[in-house]
Amino acid sequence: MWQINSVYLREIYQNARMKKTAVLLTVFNGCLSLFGLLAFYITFEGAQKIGSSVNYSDILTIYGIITGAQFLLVLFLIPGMTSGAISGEREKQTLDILLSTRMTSFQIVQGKLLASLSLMLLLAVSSLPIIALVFAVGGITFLQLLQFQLFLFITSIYLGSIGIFFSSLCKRTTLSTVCSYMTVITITIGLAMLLLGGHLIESLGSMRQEIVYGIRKMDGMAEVNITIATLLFDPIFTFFSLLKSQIGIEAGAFTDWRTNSRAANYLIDHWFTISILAQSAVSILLMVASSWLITPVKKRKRTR
Amino acid sequence: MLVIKNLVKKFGKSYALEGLNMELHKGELYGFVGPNGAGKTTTMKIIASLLSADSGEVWVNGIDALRYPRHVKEQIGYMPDFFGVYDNLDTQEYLSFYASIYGIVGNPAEKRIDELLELVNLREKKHDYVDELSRGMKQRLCLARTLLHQPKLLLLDEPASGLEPRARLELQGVLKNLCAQKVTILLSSHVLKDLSEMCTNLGIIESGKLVIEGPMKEIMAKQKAENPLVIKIMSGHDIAIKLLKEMPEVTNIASKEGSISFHFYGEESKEAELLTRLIANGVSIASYKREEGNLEEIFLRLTK
Repeated sequence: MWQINSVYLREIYQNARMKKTAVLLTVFNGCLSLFGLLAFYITFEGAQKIGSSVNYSDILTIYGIITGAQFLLVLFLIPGMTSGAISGEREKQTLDILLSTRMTSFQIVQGKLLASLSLMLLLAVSSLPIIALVFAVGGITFLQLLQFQLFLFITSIYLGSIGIFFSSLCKRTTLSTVCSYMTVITITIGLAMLLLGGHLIESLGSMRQEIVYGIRKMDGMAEVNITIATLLFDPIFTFFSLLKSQIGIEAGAFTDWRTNSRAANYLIDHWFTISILAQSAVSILLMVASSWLITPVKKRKRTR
Repeated sequence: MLVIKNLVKKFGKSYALEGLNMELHKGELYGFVGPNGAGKTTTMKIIASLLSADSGEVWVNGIDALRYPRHVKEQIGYMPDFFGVYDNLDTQEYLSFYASIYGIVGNPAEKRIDELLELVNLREKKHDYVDELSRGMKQRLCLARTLLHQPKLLLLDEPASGLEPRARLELQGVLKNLCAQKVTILLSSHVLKDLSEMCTNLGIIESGKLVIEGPMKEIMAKQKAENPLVIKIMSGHDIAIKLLKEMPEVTNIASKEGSISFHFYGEESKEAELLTRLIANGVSIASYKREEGNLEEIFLRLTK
């Protein structure tokens, strides 16, 4: 008989009773509301105050700001929510007890991730009225909004698996949290900075215009080794590619890529799908690695 | 029920277990005693599949524990030397969580939990939060947890540590009750008096090896035979000392407050002869007895 993961059930039970969850919901939706109102203010009131008329062609920027805020909150919250998942059990001395039961390491890791995702889902659902602000100005379909929520969900799995991996690797939650945030910063801002750096150099005329953000030598400068494939693992690029496909917003270096390579062009054209698949694959790998890390008896050998 | 053959476990260059051999039969309450670092917890963790062994064999109810840890976990209830409880869960929820791991859900789970709470005398605490229970109650709750799936072998690591006398007595009662139900128990403890009162068998481990093993009664009887004889003298003290010194079977003569204690290494007939000789030489004897043996003495004598 199919049964819900026991660790998952216990976690959501405990989360529901924690004051922390209520605070998280309030802060998350509070921040999102502020961003939403700010976006409206800038688009309508602000434009009128500085004497210019409302530019209705830019109205979809509101959608970009609200979803961007939600995306940033996920980036900020998920590593913190998951980095204590396993190390916390170790600190409470409950991990050994769990591992002495018939529960497998993978089931424990899975339960932990599902619990974090459920909390994320709760945040997403509770924020729907705020997100619905975008319908007030039109231009966005329900399916597009659903696509964004799906993207957020997959990003949560991706970031959550990073948090859980470090939580399995590190004995202490503090260290695990630091490692998780450092990794998330590296794969998001770090990769973006590399690209933006390349873009800056290019604009200074050191790189030829037809350059791909791949392996290329620059005249008289250091070698830039940013392969375009690396950026598939950066959720910021996935987010901007989604925005570009949904509302046509260009985000400079994040979306303005030129290449003569057919393969690179295919990658750029299907960026959202491919990056989501790449990030999902990394998530699976990290989950398997996490469960391997906490498995107490790794090699079953015959000792006779 | 449990057979351990030549079990070896090394941590770095030092041996935690050095060819350990043990055997527990169904329904036995086996006291596992040893100094700190002797290898008790390591042994229990290997049996519970929480630690790998370097070599040797561990068989639990006919299953090779080193090759099939998952199968063995179904047979075992492991209680470590710490509580490992969760916040924000009451006693019933805590037990329900572990019951669900073993696939016990719904009405059967409720029934089983009620039975166990009754057994460990915590029925009135069913809806109290776990972290608010006293140390003794937590200990009994953890014992109830290990019994949820009706294991055939219980591994209890220091279950009585830090418990006040009444709580220890209650725990003793529960364990004796379980033994009567043919549950096999491997129990490590430093409270030797308790062990001598409730265990059917005893094993003393030192530096990863058993130095003595067998039924508790036999070990205690053997120890008693090696204890000094004490005679209380009414008159003829000096004559008695002189006569004792003449006997080759007598050693370690000590005189204190009208009593003489000495070790006698000989057959019972020689012991009777000694008594007759003392009386025949005019020594007036008020009492004649062998000092009672206790587990602490055995432990101190066999371990460093």
